[in-house]
Amino acid sequence: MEIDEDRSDLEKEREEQDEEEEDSVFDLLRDRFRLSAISIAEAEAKRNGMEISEPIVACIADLAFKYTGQLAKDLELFAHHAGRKSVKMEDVIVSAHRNEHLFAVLMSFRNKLKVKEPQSERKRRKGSRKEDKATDSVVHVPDV
Amino acid sequence: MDDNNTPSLDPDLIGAIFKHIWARKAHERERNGIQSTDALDSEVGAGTSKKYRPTSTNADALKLSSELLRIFITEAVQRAATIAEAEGGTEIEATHVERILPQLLLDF
Repeated sequence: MEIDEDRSDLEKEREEQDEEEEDSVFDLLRDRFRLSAISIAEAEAKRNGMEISEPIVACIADLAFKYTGQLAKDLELFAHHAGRKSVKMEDVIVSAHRNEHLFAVLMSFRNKLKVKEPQSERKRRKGSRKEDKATDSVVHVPDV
Repeated sequence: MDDNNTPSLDPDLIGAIFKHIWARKAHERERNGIQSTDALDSEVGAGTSKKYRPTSTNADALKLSSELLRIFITEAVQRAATIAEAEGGTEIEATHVERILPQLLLDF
């Protein structure tokens, strides 16, 4: 019995350590997310010909991160409700069903993805995507 | 949106964040015992709360999610910019963001 107790104590300690580690990983992910969000927001402000100060950009990034958390919970719930273990594109689209415009935008984005990468060619997909990128970066000079 | 130079969110990053949130939630669920989430779990199937099977995401769904999040951010900035413009300023201020916030949250 005592041995069992010792073990559970050890396990608890290890669990706590794991949690701390996970928290630091999560913080790292959050910071990476914020950085990308900040660059998106700044680019958008520039496009609108507006200046935007740093604290406000950071605020919007934080808001987006919170929205991500909410979205994650929604997606998991939707997938489980459909009896699936994995989240599909449909779940993402359902999460935007309140906003007709957003719904349409996501639908068209999904169709674009589907056209670009047919599901039947999964294995070829990665290779072809790399090729796409390669051709994108090459500047085509017409022969004429 | 048509501009290729506009920054976007990395789908892998979004995937990692999702996984973390789901793992954390599953962990909490486990710790709280089965009672509170019994109704939800029984729908998914027996044994999910005991043996935690993580939710996964397919690649296209992640791309779509990162696009959704990108739209969220650009919408926030655009709406705030519209208000700032209407007030005749050239800088987006906290009050502008405050004013667009309720409708933004309702729309997403």
